Amino acid sequence: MERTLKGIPAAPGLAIGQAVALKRTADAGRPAVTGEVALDPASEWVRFGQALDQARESVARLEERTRREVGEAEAAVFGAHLLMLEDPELLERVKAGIEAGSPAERAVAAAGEELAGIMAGLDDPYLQERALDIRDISRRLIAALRGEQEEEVGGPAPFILLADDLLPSQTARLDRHRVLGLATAGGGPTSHTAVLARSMGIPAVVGLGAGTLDGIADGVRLILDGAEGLLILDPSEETLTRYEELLAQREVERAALSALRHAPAQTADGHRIELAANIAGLQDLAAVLEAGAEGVGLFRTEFLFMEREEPPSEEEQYAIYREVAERLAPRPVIIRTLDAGGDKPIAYLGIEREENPFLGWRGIRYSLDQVELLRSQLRAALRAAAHGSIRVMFPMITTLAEVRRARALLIECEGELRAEGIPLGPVEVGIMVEVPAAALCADQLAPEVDFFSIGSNDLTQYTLAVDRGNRVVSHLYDPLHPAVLRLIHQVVEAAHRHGKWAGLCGEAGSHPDALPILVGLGLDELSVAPPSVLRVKAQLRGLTGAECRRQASDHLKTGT
Amino acid sequence: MTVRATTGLHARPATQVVQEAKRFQSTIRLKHGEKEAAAGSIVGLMSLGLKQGAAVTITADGPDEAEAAQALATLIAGLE
Repeated sequence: MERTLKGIPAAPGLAIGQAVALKRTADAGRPAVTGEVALDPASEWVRFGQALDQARESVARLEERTRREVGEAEAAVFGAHLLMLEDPELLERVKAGIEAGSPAERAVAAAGEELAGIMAGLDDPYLQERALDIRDISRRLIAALRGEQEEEVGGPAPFILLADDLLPSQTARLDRHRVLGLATAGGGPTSHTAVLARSMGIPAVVGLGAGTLDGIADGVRLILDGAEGLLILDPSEETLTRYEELLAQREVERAALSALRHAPAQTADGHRIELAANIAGLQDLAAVLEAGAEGVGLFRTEFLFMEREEPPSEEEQYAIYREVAERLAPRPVIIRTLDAGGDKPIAYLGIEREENPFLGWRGIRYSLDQVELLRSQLRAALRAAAHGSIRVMFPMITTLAEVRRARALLIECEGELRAEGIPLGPVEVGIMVEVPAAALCADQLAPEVDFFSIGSNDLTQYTLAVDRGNRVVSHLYDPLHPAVLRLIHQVVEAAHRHGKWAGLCGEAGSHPDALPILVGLGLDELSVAPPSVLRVKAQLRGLTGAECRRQASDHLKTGT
Repeated sequence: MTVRATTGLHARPATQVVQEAKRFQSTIRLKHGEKEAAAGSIVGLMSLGLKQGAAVTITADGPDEAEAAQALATLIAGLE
């Protein structure tokens, strides 16, 4: 019988394949010790020492492999694992357990659970997450004690992996050629699993709910729709055919669209716009280049800060920004400074739980209070500008004073780099227009910047007072509401009056109904997700400037 | 003394403390409120849950205790 589970979309894409369930992590941490006889404590301790050496080696290998295949930031978690393996708190507890007569497996499991429990009970969400790391190393030690081989997650043929939750080490070890898709009962859109799945290009659905995946036998046919957050079990022939067609259709579309790679982004009557792509890190570059985007219109640098222990250093950021700039040169790259807070919490930044995170300490508000962090970003961006075309953009601007302070800081960083004799290049400076106040005062802000980029998601949310993540009211969320369009129109006009340009980098840019209206409002640039670039270009080339302007003026008056 | 590191004592600063503590023979402990941890344990240090502005007491016991306490205090004060 066909059954559909709804979860949280974590990584887009369709997958059709067989289920393979990952051994539940809770079981993995609970060794089957019944019937096992403990040797004398001395030999147990020796066994433990050997297991420790083995675990250290395999973590070091994993660190190396993750650094090579995924990235430096993702590999850092295994550096912490190495330290935890030699932690006296752990070793003392294991020793005490062994001396009390436990087999080493049980001593490790008990010690690991006790320490994980302590971490899980702390009030800092970052530290709570470290409980998972302690469970990961104790699972690894137990596997080594039992003489189990390092398990490669998976089955014989390509499959869709089901799990309660994935440990970082398990996600990193997935073979992306065999894992068609990923579905987990736990986790959120910013969990380690979700972020890694996106960067590895594996369609994923998370947060399906505790227990929902229990009892799905290996080999059951599944359809996973990562964009919609759906997992369909045992689909009917009809459903299966529909998705197979969809999958085939996407292939055909992809082929047809790729012919447009080098075609200009313009309407049939020659109205040209700059069509760029949004990225979250180096992992998205290949898709940007493949889509023939004219640049990066939004580099969400907060992703460089996620899933790690501490902020990336200036050097680390410089290396990344430089690589992006070099690979895209001469095309421009817009680096948006850290936009933490709101729906993107980063535990170690010390942003406490807020009553109203979207109205709280986020974006430029945070950065101007944590100036060192912002300086590291600005210095890295200026240095990268020596190797390509870099623009810097500040998020969540509400007041003129914020723009001035941020710019002053940029000038200060320029001076410092010059004094230090470090090469740097010129950068254009822009702001995100996502707070209605900034849109309404765009004429005051325009003289202070080189460009505006409208963040349509937040601008819509703030203008209409609708949380688009809240199912009860999300039907009211409408980026084409006349109020939002009037603000966009005002921003574009203000920019043009001052000889500046205005773009848009929200999801509205890739919405087929919105495109003619946005073009008609006079936006100079659109930045969309890399997979949408060619589709937007294809649509744009079928429109005319006159038709776009007519639609825009209709909507400004009447709405949808 | 007071923790100044903006993120509190998370993994990287905790690592530095562990490495510094290992240079000494003395037993070094950090105390924060009711909680206490060995300076040589990353898990122990993190489980103190130290945030920016938290007050900690360092104790050292052993042949190089004065030097050890001083070194750790200097290190923690300098963490960013």
